[in-house]
Amino acid sequence: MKMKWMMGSGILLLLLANACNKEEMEGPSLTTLYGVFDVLEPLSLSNHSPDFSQGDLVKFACQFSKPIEWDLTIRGLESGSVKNLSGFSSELDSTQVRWSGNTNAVPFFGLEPCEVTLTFANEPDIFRDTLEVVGLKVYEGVEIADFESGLPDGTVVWHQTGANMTFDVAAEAPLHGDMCFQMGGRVNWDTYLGTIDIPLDLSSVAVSADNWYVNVGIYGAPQEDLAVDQRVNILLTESPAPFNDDLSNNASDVFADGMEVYKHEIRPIDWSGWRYFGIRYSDFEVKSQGGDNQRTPANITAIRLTSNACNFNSGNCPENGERDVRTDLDYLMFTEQQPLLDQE
Amino acid sequence: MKHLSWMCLFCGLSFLGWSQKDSQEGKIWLDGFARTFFSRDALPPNTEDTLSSRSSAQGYNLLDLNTHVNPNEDVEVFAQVRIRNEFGGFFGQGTSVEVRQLRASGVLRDRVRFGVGDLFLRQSTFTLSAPDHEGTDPWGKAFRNYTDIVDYENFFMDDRWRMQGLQAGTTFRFDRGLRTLGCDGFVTRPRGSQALSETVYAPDQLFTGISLVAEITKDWSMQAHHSNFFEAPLTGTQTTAIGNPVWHVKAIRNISTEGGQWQWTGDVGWSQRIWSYHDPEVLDLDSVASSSDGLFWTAAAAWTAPDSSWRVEGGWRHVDPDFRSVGAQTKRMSYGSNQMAQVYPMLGHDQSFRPFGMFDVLSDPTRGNQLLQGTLMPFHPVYGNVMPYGAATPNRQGGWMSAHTLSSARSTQWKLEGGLHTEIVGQGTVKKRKFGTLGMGASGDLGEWLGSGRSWTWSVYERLEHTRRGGNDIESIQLTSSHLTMSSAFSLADDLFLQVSVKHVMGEGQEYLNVRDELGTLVNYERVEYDVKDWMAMGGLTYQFSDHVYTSVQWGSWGVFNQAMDANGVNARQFMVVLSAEL
Repeated sequence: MKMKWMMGSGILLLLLANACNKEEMEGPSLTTLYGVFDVLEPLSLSNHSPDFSQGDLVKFACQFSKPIEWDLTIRGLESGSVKNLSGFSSELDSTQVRWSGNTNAVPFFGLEPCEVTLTFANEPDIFRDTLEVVGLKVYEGVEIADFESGLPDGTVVWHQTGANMTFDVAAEAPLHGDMCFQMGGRVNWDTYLGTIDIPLDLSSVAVSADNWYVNVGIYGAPQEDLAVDQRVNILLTESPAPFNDDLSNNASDVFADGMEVYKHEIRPIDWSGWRYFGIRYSDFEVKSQGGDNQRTPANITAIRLTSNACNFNSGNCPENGERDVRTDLDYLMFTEQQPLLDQE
Repeated sequence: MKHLSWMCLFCGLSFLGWSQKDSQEGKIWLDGFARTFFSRDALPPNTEDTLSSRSSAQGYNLLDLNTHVNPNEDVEVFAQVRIRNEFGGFFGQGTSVEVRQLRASGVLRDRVRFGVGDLFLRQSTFTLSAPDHEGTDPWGKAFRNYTDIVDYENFFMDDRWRMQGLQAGTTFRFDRGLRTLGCDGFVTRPRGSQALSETVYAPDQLFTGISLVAEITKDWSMQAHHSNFFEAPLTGTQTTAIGNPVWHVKAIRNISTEGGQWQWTGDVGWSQRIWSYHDPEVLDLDSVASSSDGLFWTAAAAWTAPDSSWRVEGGWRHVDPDFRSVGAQTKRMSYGSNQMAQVYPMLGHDQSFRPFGMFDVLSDPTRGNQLLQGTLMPFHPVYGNVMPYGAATPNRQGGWMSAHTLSSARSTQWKLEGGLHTEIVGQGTVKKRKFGTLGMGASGDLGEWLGSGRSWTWSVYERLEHTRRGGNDIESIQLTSSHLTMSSAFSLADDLFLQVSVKHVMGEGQEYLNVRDELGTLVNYERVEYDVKDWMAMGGLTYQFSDHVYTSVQWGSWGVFNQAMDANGVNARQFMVVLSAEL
């Protein structure tokens, strides 16, 4: 009796085990992955003259004989801007592989012809095509300043009385549009060169600090002219105090000690040309406490950007005796959910 | 260095004296462990590599001071404080002091055992258990000076995992129906919230378990185990979280006959692995991103000879491809490609990462893994391709057998074991891998046999593995590996031993390494070719001051080459001095 029971249990277990294994294969097919690579359908573009300002998308399609690592690059032939898309699949699915006119890194794309290149890992095949951008992508967000019409209303600018001080709007090599804000000069006796304070009203913003980003483009001088230890400090204040009641101090009055102020430092600025940063508000550190001490985007009342560098008189940077600091700014934007450059 | 070593020893012996004194009062007592380690590594001259230093040295002294406080007879509070000083440290530089273990344990009302803090836990082979790693010597003798360090530094104690949490258990005795019923449960946190980048935080990992062990009659007993590994998504910023409950039921029957002692066991169980999607903005909308279920069962029998001289075991196991058990499938050793070796991590004119070898497995404490992993860890097919995750290796079915002598009855030990397994489903093809393994070895004392009056212990063990899969040119694979481990210790004088240990690994053939995504799904393969020669040979003198205090001087060479992949090989030597004292 016992033997029958044990045999019955064993057979039941075997049946159970086999019933649970209907799949014959786990994972993608080896023969497909390691087989011969062939292009079944060549690269095609849905739109060769996209107007991204109207929401146009360029959709890409291509089919291969096996899943493969592919790399699609769109390069602006005048701006040099690059957008890169890559993946591992057996096709470029036009519903997923598409371009909205954004870039991986500044400069932004302009109204220009672009070259499209599709390459594959360990395969010599290359596909090329071209398109013409007829309208620029409009990034979503809350504009702080793009300096196209001068300084935003209420802005307060202050700088030291050093040599070659440039704290003003200028048309020289802007990142976006035709104008930028130049911020630099030479101050041998102090690390602090100057500041720009911009009042803000974000009371209608409803997102949390984790989903609120400050975006800013910063320019670095050519390598041979780079001052040592250049840096830009970004301060955000949630102080409800009047922005600029005290006109004697050459700056706004909402970043003082005892007020709720948060800070992020970009240091060192040791590159040449423009770079664009998207910094999450919750990653700002506390500069001084006041108010409810909780980062709340809707409570932000002003932004301050300061230019700093190693001062020559400290003896730590003899090069700065002959070099002007240059930390120009452009296209200051707030965005929700993600940094500006990540917007599709 | 020499002075520091003797200082450590002196401190240790002083603490030992204190320990004896205070233990008489029954309130506080001390013990601990001290080690002095020094090694010098050398590379042979190589005109193609002018960037690597030909010789380098490193070492350290450490003292683990264990404080045991017994506020009453039923409770003990234990703290282990480590003081470590790197070789060459000066005025505090390179010196660290840290709390290494902290635990309170005891018995409540003479019935419930409990422990809080650092715990060493095991459950069953399929729910929580650490399989031996690939460098383990079945006889436990080869390279003891190295493996003791690796095990101690990584808290490798038997097949237990060290975790932090709470454990409690009790045993009930009955006078009818049931003889005894043991209950044991634990709640642990293997890993706290961890920053992966400035903005991404991995959540807390929690691991819970409960076991019921019932002795029904003198012959019959039953066990039921349940474990659950899961992440608490609110403690991190990641959007996916794992859940992995496992159930295991085991029945054991013992039969005593004149022909020997029989034990029949049957195991059955299943697991779920659930990846849930967590939206931090909408807490009520957690959803299942993917889930899988897997079953396992085993049937085994063991026979012990009437004179307890031999034990023979055999059985059959089936573990589904989707059976996942974090507690049973996490590996002791990490073979991730991003892990650097401790000795000469980069070699060659381009200073590229060198291949790791058995030397690293046996001697590098940083390669040991102490954390349970939610997905299957990488493994090295040449070191172990048949059962890389121990008995709970998924996608295996087949039989095994072993026969070995029992040490209490014989001076010379023998061991023979083998198994034949197949995959249950193919990987990337409908063709299934077939696995064969065979291990054999012996261990004994030649001095006894020669009648020389001096101890001359020896051991040898050879393990062969073979993997084969048919199919077309792309699908077919064949991989054979051989692992030879030998050791010998000859007593030159009282407490002074001449020791030699050798490990030699060869592997030839080809395999596909599985590439899995972050959810553990098989998405790709990496084809690898092996023509591996991997060895480590060490010899030297050991002086045993007492049962728990020894010093050893070892010298030897090691190397690893994989000629099939044209990777940089390495051939190096090491001189090592260790002074180890259990206080």
